[in-house]
Amino acid sequence: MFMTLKNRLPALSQILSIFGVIALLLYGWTLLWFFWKLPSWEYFMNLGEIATQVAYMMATNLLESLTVLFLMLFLCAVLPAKWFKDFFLSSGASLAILSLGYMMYFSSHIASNDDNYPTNMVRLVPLAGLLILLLAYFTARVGFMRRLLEGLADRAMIFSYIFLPAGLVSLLVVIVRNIL
Amino acid sequence: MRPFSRRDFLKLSTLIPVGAILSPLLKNLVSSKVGGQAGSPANIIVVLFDAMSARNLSVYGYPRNTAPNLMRFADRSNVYHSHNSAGNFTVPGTTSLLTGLYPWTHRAINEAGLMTREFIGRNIFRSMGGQYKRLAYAQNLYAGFILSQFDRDIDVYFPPDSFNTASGIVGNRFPNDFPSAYRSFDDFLFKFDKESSKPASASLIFGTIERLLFLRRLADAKNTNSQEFPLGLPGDDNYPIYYRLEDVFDGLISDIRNIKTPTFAYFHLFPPHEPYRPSKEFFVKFFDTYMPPVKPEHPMSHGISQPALNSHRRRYDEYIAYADSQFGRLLDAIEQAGLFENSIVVVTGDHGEFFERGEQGHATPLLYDPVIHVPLMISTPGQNKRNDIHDPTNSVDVLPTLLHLTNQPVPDWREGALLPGLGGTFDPQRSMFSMDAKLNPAFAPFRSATIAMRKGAYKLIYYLGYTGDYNDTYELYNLETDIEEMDNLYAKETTIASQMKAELLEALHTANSHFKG
Repeated sequence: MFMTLKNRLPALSQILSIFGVIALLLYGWTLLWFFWKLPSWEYFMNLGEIATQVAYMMATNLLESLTVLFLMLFLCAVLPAKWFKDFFLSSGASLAILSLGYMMYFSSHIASNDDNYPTNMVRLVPLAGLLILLLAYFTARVGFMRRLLEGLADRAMIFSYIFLPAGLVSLLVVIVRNIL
Repeated sequence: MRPFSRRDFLKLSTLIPVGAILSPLLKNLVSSKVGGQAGSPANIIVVLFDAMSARNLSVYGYPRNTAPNLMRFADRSNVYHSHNSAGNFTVPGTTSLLTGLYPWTHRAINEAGLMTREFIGRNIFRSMGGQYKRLAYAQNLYAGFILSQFDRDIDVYFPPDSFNTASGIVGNRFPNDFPSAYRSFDDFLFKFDKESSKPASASLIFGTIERLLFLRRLADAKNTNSQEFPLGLPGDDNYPIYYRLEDVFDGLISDIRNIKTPTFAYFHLFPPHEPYRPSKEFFVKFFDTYMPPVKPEHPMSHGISQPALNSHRRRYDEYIAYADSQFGRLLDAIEQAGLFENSIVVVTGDHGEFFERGEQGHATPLLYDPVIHVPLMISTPGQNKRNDIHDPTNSVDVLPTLLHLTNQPVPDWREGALLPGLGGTFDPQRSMFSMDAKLNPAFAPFRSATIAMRKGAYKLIYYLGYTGDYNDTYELYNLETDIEEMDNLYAKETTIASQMKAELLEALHTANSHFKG
């Protein structure tokens, strides 16, 4: 069964590349907010307290990145290989960029002063999701786009080597702080 | 009679260590100033209303009948008529109340700021000691951040979303590390920061999902309560906390009924803080002919029009009336539980609110009376008469007074004095301070701040480090003859002005001398 599952999943190097793309987007988004917040924190928090915030931030980003990655691997496992697995690097990168990009748009547009539930936006989510899946499928099949996405994913692998250990250490810090 | 033998002497001498152990208890039994049952110290119940200006309360002479239940409470209390908070928003105001220190000492001066780490042990919960069961509840998350710094000294902590109708607070789920978790999740990762031009969650996946789930819960709560709250459910503008005051007070009443003597309970309630959302019963209660005095627009104000200010004031007054109606239920519960007989009950505010000079709110550099003049009423065990005290007092005085009343040592580090009428006497030479320094780093000397110094009838306001024409400017008022602060005496009463200015600058210099820069 393990071998069957392994056969349905892409190579580890490809998984690491896609994790790098996901991490780049998720950590990058949070880091933007972190640097927006940092000047005010510097007014009243010491270095240790700021480091703790960074640990919570990195640990949360790690769990988010893994969640998105596992969703993609799940798609790989259940969809025919020709649809997704065979083009994992380009389809995965495309899917990560489009879905997380949509998430950024969505997150920026659901805030209102009176905290109303964004009924209309939520109604559009299934349609947007379908559109993103189709776009991810087709962009991976256009030669120019495919090369672009694979190049990007290849280069993004470096972020796996930065954010994965940083996230794991941060997660450990958070766990220790909550156990002791 | 049998002669007193050597053996009898030895038997008796064994009682010496027993006596040594019992003597503090006996001392307590005999000399407790306001003891509870059979020598146990009195309970202390502190009820704090956020952003409640004494100037808008009928008990302090406001023309609108905003607070009949506070009036009822005043009939059995020491009522302080000239009580100022040391800060003009939650963080400095609450911290000064709970530590007896001025903001330039405790340094909780920024929005969502924290107290300086070396002074964390200087708080009222630790000072009350282990003999008290110490409860704390803060509906305002800024106050929650401060309380989280005292977590080792608090026995039972009710987080800000306790008793709420709909909320999205996450930090509570990390009980072993909630000070950091609050800050991380509720003030950063999951917060939709409305101060940002494009509010969004810093945690893109979990934060957004959590937000959506919260908004769903809130929509249901709004639907259920839309008839009862014409302006929307009461809540917090900065954090996802929405509540019906009836539920919040039900929770407090339940806690009050379960109090085991001796208890120190601190209840920090969010109303009547903005947004002002009275229930239907109080909505339009004050559509009346009352017109507050019109004051000239201040150069540092936002230039809000007088009709808009009057409208905000009316809503604020209605919200106070709503909060007061629920406070009445709490009063009844305290009475029914017999707690007035063995408890000190304190009602106060962390800062005020104002609607004048083109400005509305409290987190403003303008430290006029309505912003810092807060209620203070203290009912001692068994008290059934009202005692009015008109001498100026400050929120830093509450900690030493409560310790004194419960016969505990008053620490040397406190910057307040005992309140007149409760162990202290009025000192006309004493100077008291209120300040706004939110634009100033907590780890640096004050370079940008407003400092108000009260001495007897006079109040000097110093504007320091602001850009524009109002930099390094002073105003002087005589509050006994001009409570509305319309007549700036700084250029007229030059002797008093220069004396007070020298004293204020000396105090500021001393406070700043602990910091480099």
